[in-house]
Amino acid sequence: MRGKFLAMKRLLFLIVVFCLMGTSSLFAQKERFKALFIFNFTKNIEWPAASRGNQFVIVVIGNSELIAELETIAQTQRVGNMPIKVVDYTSLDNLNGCHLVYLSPSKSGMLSSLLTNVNGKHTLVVSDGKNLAAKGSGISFVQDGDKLKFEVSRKNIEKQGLKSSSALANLGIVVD
Amino acid sequence: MTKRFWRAGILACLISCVGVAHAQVSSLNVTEMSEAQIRQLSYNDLLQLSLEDLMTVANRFGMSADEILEYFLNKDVVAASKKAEKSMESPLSTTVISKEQIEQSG
Repeated sequence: MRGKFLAMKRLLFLIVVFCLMGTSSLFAQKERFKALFIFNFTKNIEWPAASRGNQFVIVVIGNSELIAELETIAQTQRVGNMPIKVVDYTSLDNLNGCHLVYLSPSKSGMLSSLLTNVNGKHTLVVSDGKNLAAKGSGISFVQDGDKLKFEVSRKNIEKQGLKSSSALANLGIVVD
Repeated sequence: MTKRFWRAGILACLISCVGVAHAQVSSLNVTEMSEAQIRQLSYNDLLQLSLEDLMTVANRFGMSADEILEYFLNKDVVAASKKAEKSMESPLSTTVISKEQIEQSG
């Protein structure tokens, strides 16, 4: 009887371990796709020549997994001819001269102060959550069931002095 | 009794670890690819995709296949031992060189 109980306990432990392994890699996978999408967005947005520097700077607010994924991409890829630099956000000063900023869902409350800071400075604002493109970001990830989609605000992208490709509008959920 | 449970556990572990053998993919027309072919794409291949193709791939995967790490980051390599093996088990580190890099090298 006791042996059976112990065995059950072990089986339960194994099941819990497998479940945990499953969720952690699922999370990593989502961040991996988000990083791929963000890199892909850079191919569909045109930054004016004046804003191009030595590096393409991506600032990430509140998502360390995404930073790791973007850094993997930065090792082999370039945007235009610029190498990619990924910056972990510490203060609003980070945003000076950055080309793209990603705002994680937990930091969505920062959106309005972020927008005042980067207003018209050729920065693409990518937020993460529903209806955020209508609130001022250029692109916002939305999770639709198990599918990753994104909202696009062409107006907000233009307001930042950037041009978006027609593919971006065709494939995203256009909010204006 | 206990042993049997452990054996079952180890077996389940092995089954979940076994990957699918990969072959080379030459073209990247993902809309015409079968799911099996899409799974053969490397992470580098994914980076070269257009936005449309990337969405196709992301949605075909349904964002839920947790074997994706195995598929994209632990590809079979043949360069080190002249036989297919997981890159993690390979005695040499491997680098993927893109078409553009080869063209640029002259």
